[in-house]
Amino acid sequence: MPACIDLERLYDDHAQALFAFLLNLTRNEADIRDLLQELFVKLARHPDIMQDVRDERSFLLRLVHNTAIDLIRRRDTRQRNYDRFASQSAAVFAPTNDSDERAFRQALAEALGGLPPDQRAVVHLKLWEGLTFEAIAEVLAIPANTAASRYRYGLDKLRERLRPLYEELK
Amino acid sequence: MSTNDFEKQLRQQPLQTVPRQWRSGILQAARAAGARAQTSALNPQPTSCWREFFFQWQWHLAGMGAAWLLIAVLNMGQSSAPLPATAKQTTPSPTQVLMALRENRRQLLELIGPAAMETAPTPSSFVPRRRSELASPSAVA
Repeated sequence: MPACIDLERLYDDHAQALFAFLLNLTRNEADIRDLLQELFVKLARHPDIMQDVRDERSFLLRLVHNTAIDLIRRRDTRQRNYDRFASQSAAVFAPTNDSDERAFRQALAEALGGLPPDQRAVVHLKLWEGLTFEAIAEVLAIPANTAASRYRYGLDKLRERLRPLYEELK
Repeated sequence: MSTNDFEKQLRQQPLQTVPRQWRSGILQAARAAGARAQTSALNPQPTSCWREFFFQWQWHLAGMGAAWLLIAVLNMGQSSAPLPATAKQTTPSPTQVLMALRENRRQLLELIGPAAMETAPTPSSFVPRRRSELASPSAVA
């Protein structure tokens, strides 16, 4: 008897978080569409993989992270990705009418794009998913100490780049 | 600029939302894939097994096919080539054997010479008599 899976509920509960995480990683909406579809097709074909999963969000983030990393490795070299991220400040953040906010979000998106993917993933999961370092370590399959140090390095870089704008906003 | 304030400021930035039109397409594709997977699990088709087998071993099979083709081409090329001289030799006919024997005998006689030919005993001319003439007197009696 195959396991039953509620795809609609899973999509409504987690698609937004998965989309934002993938957008921060890949900066390419077409890629994200493919990755999300690939994920849900996989879940539909193998519904039993969700059995015995304690934290759905972390599990799904881990799945999409792995597929995104594969995609990035397939398509580009590391350096070319950095260049592409720096030039593509894709709309990672929601649009706003406030010009200062818009400038800050634009600068933040560019600064995030300048981080190495491993630091960017940790910063995203910590700031916008609110995960603990232990949970981040599980998602990214790294030690918790590594997750913490990557977060500190990443945050320091962001602070350096955004200091002037941040002071203005304050 | 404290770390906590800065983190709080970053956290407050709202992320881009997932496009609404994606939902139906993604879920439709997922449902279709799930239905196909269930159907194939309930009715496993032998053709799909064969297809999977050939797909898995496609390069090995192609290599073996090419090797057999090469062997066949080489074999055909050999059969059309002229046979070597040793292979063309055929067994001599009885007439040829007889002629060769006669020639051998003639050469042997030449080597031995005429003297030997003269001293050689001539076969006695034995003429067999009739059986009735051979009958003994006792038998007649």
